[in-house]
Amino acid sequence: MTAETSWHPDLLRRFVATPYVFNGSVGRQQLCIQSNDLEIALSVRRSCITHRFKGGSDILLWKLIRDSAAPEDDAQILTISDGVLRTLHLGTGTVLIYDRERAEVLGFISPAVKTQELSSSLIPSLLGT
Amino acid sequence: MSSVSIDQTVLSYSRELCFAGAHCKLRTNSCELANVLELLSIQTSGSSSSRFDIRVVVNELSDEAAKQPHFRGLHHVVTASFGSSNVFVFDILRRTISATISGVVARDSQFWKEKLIPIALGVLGAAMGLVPMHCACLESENDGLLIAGASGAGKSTLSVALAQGGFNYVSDDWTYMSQCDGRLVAYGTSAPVKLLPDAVNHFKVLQSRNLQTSMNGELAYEVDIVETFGAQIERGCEPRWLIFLERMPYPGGEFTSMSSTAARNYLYSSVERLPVQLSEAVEMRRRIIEKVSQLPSWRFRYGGAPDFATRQLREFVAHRREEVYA
Repeated sequence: MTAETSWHPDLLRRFVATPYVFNGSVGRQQLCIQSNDLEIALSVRRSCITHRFKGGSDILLWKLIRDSAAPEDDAQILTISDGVLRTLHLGTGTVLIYDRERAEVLGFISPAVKTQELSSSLIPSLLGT
Repeated sequence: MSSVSIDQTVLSYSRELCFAGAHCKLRTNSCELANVLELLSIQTSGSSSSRFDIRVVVNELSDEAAKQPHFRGLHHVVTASFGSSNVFVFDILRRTISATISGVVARDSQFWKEKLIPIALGVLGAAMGLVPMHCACLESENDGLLIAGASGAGKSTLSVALAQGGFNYVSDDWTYMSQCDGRLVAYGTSAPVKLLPDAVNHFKVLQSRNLQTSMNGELAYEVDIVETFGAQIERGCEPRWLIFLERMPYPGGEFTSMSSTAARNYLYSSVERLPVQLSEAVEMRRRIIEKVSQLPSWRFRYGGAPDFATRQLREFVAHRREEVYA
């Protein structure tokens, strides 16, 4: 057993592989989109290019995980804002995090959430637009 | 959609708290929560630099009790939901917890004691030089004895037996390691001792207690060690020895010296992998693990009742002291 091979299981799902990566620029802004779901990655890229996310033009990194293990419970939306961090929770299975200072959007998306809902409703709510 | 803005100007109750040697600044809109946490706070000696903030908005209109937790984490942020009304956001880089909870959870002292405080120390610990390690800790005459071992090896049962056999109890499952004035310090929390069902064979007092489903799904007795066993508590101590516990199928006990490499590998196996965004925390943790792995370490294999192991460990500690003071 070595230190590298003996880690705990990834209970928080921090290390889910994100094989769908888009690096590019929108105007003069560099942008990186990472996801384990092609549909999500494409949808976010499209929305960024078309400036659909008002207030999200400064975001440098998007990392969004389609979370197949997420619980499917009630669909109540809750947003919490504290300083530079804003989170959006849809039930307990979907969580989106916007760190304004680090210009990052991170999140786990439940299988029950359609890509359309993510792009047209949840992300704009997260960004406060 | 409900929105919670954690505006510090409306969080009119504030407290300076201390958990496992880490200082915590609480701000909340609930006097009751402030009082609950103040009662759980444990001031310890020494000047620890570990510090975090917790800001909690209590929604008295919600009566949702804490449900089974759901955790997720990316980069420097971890979220924990105990139902849709009880949500905690841990910002590891900024050492901050932001939360909105129901009035029921605000008043649930057991939730804070057994779940949220240990979770907070586990999630934020590495970023503030406080490393949670999967081991028990007992203290005798200012000397700390760390007892590591796989789940089910009997750490908790042995911890209770040692606490009944003259040692002071620090922790039975998770011990928080830190450095204070250059010295290694091991802290416990006020979390209950968790004993597996077969512990009732050794401790008859458990016959009158009920088994509960613990956070990891195991059935266990979760009891207050002072109230149930009359143990003496020590909140922190300087660890001197590291013992790796293994059970044998036949009666007897044997100590074998262990290398620091083996100790280091075990210690890494009990800590969670951290993302690259937390490289400073990784480095701080590496330094503490290195220091712990340099402690004199032994593998202790035993078979038989925990009373027998307690006698063996008492003799072991006495011999080690004789070696030091000879």
